[in-house]
Amino acid sequence: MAVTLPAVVEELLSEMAVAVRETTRIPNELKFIFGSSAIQALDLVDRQSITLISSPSGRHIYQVLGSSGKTYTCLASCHYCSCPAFAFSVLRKSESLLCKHLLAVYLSQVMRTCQQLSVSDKQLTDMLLIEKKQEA
Amino acid sequence: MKIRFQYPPSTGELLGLLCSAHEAPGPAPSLLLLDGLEEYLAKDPGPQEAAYLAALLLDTVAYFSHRRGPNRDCGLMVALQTQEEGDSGDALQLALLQRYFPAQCWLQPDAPGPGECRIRACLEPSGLGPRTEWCVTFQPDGEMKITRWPTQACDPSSDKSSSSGDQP
Repeated sequence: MAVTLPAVVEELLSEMAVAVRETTRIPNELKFIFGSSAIQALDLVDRQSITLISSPSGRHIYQVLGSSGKTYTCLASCHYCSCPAFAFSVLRKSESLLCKHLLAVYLSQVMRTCQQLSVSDKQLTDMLLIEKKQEA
Repeated sequence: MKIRFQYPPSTGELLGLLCSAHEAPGPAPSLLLLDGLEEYLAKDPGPQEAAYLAALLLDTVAYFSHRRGPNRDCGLMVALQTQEEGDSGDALQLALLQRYFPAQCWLQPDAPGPGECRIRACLEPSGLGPRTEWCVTFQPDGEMKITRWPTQACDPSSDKSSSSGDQP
């Protein structure tokens, strides 16, 4: 499975963007494709759990406050989330396209409901390095 | 045009370079080349650690592309030597890396003629592009010749010893 989303998911997210702008209706296809993750992801979006963290350099990451209270980092440019479900269901088992945190990031981009936080370049480096240390 | 060589001695140092790439002064590069990815994965990291390294490479290149401006992407090329007889962990790691680097060029030593070195190169572009195979021959005088491989069949999952992955 490529790091880019399959075409059907890209199309669905584009339709969502249109639907949300016009009617605030969430397409049923979201649940069909993503199952229970769709509801969990929408719940994260509703709780304003997604934060876009950017620095003066222009580089940015997403952090998602999970339902367990832990914060997970999602890289904006490719499919990566630091949560255990991503490592197991997506990477190891290829059972899922996305974890709920990554789906929540994409949904928040479409629905324009991200919180925003500006940090220094050094702070962004430290946030990325903390992820590395947590992996170790 | 300048080539900058860096030699991060450990996986930690490499990750540090990637995480801090946005702090580095000077113009954004047009190409990031990483050799010996297998060395940085040699301590048998779990799938999440390997994925983080691959994802950070892509994120760093995406950042450089953003800095270079529209229609001026930064490319990424990563070289990895695979085990001839790897275990299931190696297979999982390779599948994971193929997820992040779908465009691949497999290089396999071929039986050479007298005094020459020959490599079979199988290029797999990402998406639905066709595979193509090439024969790369190095003559004793150092001359390199590249010709199309006589047959189109290429199964990089069997008997492969090294490959390089490319950002599509």
